[in-house]
Amino acid sequence: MDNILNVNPTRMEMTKLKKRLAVARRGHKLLKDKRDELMKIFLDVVRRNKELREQVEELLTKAHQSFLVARAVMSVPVVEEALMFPKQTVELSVETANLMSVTVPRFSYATAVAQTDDADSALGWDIFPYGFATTSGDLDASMQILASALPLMLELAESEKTAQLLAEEIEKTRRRVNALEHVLIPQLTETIHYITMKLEENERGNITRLMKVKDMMLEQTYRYRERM
Amino acid sequence: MKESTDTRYVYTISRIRVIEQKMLSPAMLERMIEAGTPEEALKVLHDAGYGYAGEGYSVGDYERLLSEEQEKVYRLLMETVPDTREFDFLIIKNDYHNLKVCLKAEFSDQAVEDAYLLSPSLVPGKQLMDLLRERNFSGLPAPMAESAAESIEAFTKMQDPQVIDLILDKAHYGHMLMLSDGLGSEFVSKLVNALVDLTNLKMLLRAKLIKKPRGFLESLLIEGGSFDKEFYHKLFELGYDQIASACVDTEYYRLLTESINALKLSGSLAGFEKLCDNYLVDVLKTVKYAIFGIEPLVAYYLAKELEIKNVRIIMVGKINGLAQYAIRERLRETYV
Repeated sequence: MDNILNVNPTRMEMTKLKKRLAVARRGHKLLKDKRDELMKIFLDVVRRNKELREQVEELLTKAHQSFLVARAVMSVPVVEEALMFPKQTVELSVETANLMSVTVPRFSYATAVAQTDDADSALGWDIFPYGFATTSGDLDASMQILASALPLMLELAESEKTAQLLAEEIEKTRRRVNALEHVLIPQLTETIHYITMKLEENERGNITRLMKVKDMMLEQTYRYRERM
Repeated sequence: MKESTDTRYVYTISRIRVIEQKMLSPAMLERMIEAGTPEEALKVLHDAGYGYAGEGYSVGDYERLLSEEQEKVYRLLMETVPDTREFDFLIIKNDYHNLKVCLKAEFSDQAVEDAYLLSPSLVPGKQLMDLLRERNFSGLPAPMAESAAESIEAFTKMQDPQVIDLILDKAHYGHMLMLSDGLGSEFVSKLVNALVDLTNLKMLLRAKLIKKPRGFLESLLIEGGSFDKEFYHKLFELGYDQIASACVDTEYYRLLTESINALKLSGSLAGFEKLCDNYLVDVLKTVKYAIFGIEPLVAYYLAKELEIKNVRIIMVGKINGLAQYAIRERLRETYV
């Protein structure tokens, strides 16, 4: 009896509850579909995420190895001097995208190099802000790897945040689906059942009462007992 | 090579003969490599008399310890030699480094951190900072003043921090060649020539490795040295194997063959850089037992520089938990 809502067992209430049940069922179905779809997207994102993370980690390990070697043959001031003034600036902008009504971030980045005169473009564009005479070749390798890792790292950040937001949304949706499935819908069905029973019970009580009244009225009119 | 008969340095040379005994031997470096912790490795340095007595150095301070050690060597030379100007060519490297730091800091709106400045230098770092701020180049040696003005102009035009380094690197080597030629020592000229050649070769290989256009090489190459620019341009067009065979008549043939093999295996120039240092040590060793002249002093100063490089390799390796074989592989030949 605890699953029954505290309502008056009337026909009016029952119609209302039936309407609510219908809405709840529809909502349940929709939410379940949403959850399944989210799950599907989430798994895709997670798979991509894993791939990216492995790539990024491999690149960063390599970059660190090269940097370590470079660092071992260059003194701290020389390394600092080489890297103190970056040549390239990176502009990162964040936009949002809608994924199953979840707002996820989308990073886009643009690199900018200082404007060079045409005459000097023969030097070729690169990412190295230092001269080559006093620095070690492994620093170039390290820089190159890091430069190639940047887009992947941004993508990784994006997909990791997306996965996190999706997971939260899935959790929320699942809680709602469960609440509908295991609490609200049984409650409504049971209450409706209870009201139906109650109404039928009343009906039967009524009939019995009517039959009794009829008996009493016949008795009064025809005096069966006296005639016996 | 003609032996020097210059007797002015006899006192310093004899002092250095004693100190040389305390240089890190291969066995001591081996002890550092085998040390369980960076602290133990540092202790070997303490035992070898590194740094100033009475100061406690922690592992985090090793970089300061190393720069103080280099300064100590320079100070010893300065105290005992008759003409200190003769050693300028060894330290202008630090001046040009400081110049780069100051200019880059100014153009990128950063404060110059003392830790980034190197000493010993001709112009003390602080003074250089002030001179540059006031754009007062008259206090600097002429080649430095010219190259500083040139790099400021180039940067304002191109807004590219790399040009500062490119111009100053060239100026540095040019200045060094000029000063060393003035000494009239066959050994020093040969040494500086080798430095220029090896630096040019290193830059050439690096430019090739990162696939730069030919025009870029022009902005890197240092004038002077044993080869002309045409030679490098020709090398630049060749494949790695042909580079070595094109140098068959030069001193660097063996070095190049070996390092290009290493380069093909690992894709890194670490092997080349190591062999360059080994080559220089061999050059230094030729005057190790000279009694007269400036040569053994120059050799000792540079040998100490290379020793410090070795120590840095070990310390960085130890601190970062590099395997022993990996450290050993990168170690340079020792002078003693």
